[in-house]
Amino acid sequence: MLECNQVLSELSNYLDDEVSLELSQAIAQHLVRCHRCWVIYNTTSRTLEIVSDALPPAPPVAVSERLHARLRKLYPAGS
Amino acid sequence: MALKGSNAGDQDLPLIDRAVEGDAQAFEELVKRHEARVYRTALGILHKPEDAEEALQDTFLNAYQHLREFRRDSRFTTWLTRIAINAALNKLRGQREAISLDATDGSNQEFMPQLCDPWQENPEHVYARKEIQQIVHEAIQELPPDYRVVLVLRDISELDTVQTAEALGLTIAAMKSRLLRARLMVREKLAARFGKKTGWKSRWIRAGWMIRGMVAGGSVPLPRRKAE
Repeated sequence: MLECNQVLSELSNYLDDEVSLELSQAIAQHLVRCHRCWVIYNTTSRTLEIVSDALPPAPPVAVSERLHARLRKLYPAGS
Repeated sequence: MALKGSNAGDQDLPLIDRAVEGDAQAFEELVKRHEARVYRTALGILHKPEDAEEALQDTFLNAYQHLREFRRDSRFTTWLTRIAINAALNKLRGQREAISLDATDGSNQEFMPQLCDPWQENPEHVYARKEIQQIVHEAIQELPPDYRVVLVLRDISELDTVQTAEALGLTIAAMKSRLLRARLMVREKLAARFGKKTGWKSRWIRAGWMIRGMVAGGSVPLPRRKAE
């Protein structure tokens, strides 16, 4: 049986699916029984979703255009 | 020991070869492929769009001028990310923060979550999308830089575990330890805004969980699977 602190220390790996099948099953069993760990798991997972959505997927068009304009000044003539 | 990366299958290599020979179109293509990721990295670390734009330009100017020095023992993405991190940290140095990417306050110490009430089902029903983005931005900016950079690379720029460790010159174990702490610190800050107040209802839910645990028959959500 895993302790809460063992589950906490593997939480990132579990969320990233970077634990063995055996450990994954043990953590899942713990989360069924332990409300506190389940809340931490659930809210950390939601944190990552919110963080990933918090920034624009790409720079604004004007930012990208200014970048390319500045780089063009560096390129050798004729290229 | 830092990781030795591999650039096997790096799709950027043919473009790099051409760009090194002076083909500006090839370099333009490299910029197009990577500018979104570099911009997100810079914006995650720096917060202000105007600073992120400067860091974006500095990154590609620097990459163009030093492309011949790319050693090809790691992926181009990793090499470019290192330049982007330095560009962003240089901006921070010019501001208020003293920067060190060495673990400053004991990343080996465990971070114990304090706020452990469930969250509202849909924070977006309570907060406007822009408001949520602002809350997240603030939570990330309040992290010490060494934790902020790990979180940004892994969860915003979506580098994989090896690339993140390599870009920071950390072992995988050290990177993971810092990442866990960074994620829990951000969760704690968001929990203060999105957590439900504990009342009779949540106590009943908690009691339900205890009973569920005793019969041990329920199912648990599967781990979030990250696209690599």
